[in-house]
Amino acid sequence: MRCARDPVVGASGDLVECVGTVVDITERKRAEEKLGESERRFRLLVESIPHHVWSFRPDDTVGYWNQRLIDYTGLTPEEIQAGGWAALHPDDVVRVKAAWQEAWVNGGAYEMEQRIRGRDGHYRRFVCSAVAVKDEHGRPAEWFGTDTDVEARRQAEEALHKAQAELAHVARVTTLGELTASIAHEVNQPLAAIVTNGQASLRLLSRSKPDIDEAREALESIIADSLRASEVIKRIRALLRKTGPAKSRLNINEAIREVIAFTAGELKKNHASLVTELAPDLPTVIGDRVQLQQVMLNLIINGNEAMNSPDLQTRELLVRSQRTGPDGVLVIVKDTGTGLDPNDRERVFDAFFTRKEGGLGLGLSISRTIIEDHGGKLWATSNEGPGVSLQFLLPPASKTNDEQN
Amino acid sequence: MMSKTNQVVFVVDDDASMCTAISRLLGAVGLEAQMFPSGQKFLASKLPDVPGCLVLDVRLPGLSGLDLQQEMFARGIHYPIIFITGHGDIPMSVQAMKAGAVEFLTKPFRDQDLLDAIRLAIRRDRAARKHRAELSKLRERLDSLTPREREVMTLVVTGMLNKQIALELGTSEKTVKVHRGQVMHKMKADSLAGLVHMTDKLGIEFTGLGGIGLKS
Repeated sequence: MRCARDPVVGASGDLVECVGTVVDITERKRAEEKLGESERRFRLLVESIPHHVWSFRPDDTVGYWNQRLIDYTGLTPEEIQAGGWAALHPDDVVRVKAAWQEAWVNGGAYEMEQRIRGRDGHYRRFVCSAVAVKDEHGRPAEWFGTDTDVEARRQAEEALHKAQAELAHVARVTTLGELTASIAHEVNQPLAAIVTNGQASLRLLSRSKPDIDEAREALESIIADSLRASEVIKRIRALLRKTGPAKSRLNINEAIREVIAFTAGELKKNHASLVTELAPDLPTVIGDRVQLQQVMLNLIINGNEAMNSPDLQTRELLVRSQRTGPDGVLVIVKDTGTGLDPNDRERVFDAFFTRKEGGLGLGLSISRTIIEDHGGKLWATSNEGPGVSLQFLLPPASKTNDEQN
Repeated sequence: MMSKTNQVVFVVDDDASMCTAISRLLGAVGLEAQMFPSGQKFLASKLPDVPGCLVLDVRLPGLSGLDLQQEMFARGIHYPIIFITGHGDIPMSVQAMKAGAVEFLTKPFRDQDLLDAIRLAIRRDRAARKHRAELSKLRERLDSLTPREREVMTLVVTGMLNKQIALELGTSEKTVKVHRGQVMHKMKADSLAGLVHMTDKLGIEFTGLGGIGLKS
């Protein structure tokens, strides 16, 4: 109850009477308590949730930082009021400011991954997102946002990528080891031509009437073949190198042709013929040359091995590249082999799945990882005729990860 | 040095550089060469009817070297084959030699080894052609004999006298004499020994009572 006494003064200044009022303030008190309670709960919520919570005003001043954020950055209230950018990584400043500009203009949501410095001086990565509360004119009046710590997650992703790269390297080396005989043949071919050309030149020059022109052509062939042999060695070295992801613009057809040169011997050994249909006007792709060649190597060898069976009538491997969609690239490796059990169509991409004796079963699983890292897709379909088609799609250059140089 | 037009070496190798190098080598010693990147292309081409041989890579796309050898045999293409290979194909070499190849060389080979093999192969091919031509002529002559004349011939070359032949065939000695004369004339044999050679070449023999057969 609220009691109040209001004195009433007469004309002469003497107290005439007192008017008293008694108001039942029970309801109001209850409401105030509830509000206080609600405020406490709300504060508890905002302080306890495992994210930074903050607000930000048009004049670049900070409206609110929750305790977690204050504790993380270790900034003083003065430093905080000086500007919310204090703990932002200097290399992220440009990016973040640009994104804020955008958000202010559009009034839409803000979301950016940025690095924020902790009180220990180390930066951690956070996903920062905010929404605007608009004024009566529909313009953003204040932004309310959270930061979520994703540092641990990013480190785990990086470790995973590193492990995948190691595995891919191992698989690559193993595959190349299996191809040794073929590769030796690829080097031996130009060497044999060099020897024959050399011997021919000697004969041409020791005639009573030496054929200098023909001997010169023989020498030119010798040079070309020497370069051919060293190219093979160079390509093998490139494939054997342990590479970090190194994406660049590449001509997929050229990459495919190089791989075909490695596998020609294997196909011939199997009495298989190779048909290539490489579209001439393919869009440029952004990708890691070594990794994509690893995928091609894997698909071609798999296709060849699928045609191992002695009672096969035709052994033909088709390698086709074509444009797909606006600027994507589709590559198909089609065999005429023993075919795929419908149940296995997805299982073949599982790690360690193999129907091959002595096989590791890693090739397709690694290939799929590589293609998906490129933003693409790899899948298998049964042909209308005999055999299987393995196809992968690479997205247009604009949609993939940024080119690294 | 042999003239360029009366023999040819067919070089079949899918490695264009090797094909050209071998051609160049052959050209340097006055041998004419024709190049093919595959067995199919070789079989599809119109082959000149001159003595020659094949220099063939064992591993080819599509039709393998050994398959080509078999296919040629089936089609009655008789060129002798020299195999070359970039692999250390020992078992394949045995198989190839058993199938009648002249030589099996591994790359890189000595130029003299290839040239020697080619010369041997062409010599064999000339001899084989001569033999086939002769045989063909003899067959023509054989076909011109009547059945009775053939019977008489078969018995003549065993050394039987006309009298014996007449008894064997149930006819008169005079008839036998006439048939015998026709045989000598149609077969263009100038002596009994000559006729015997011919029947040997043709593989005809007397297989016994009432039988005339061809040597298997």
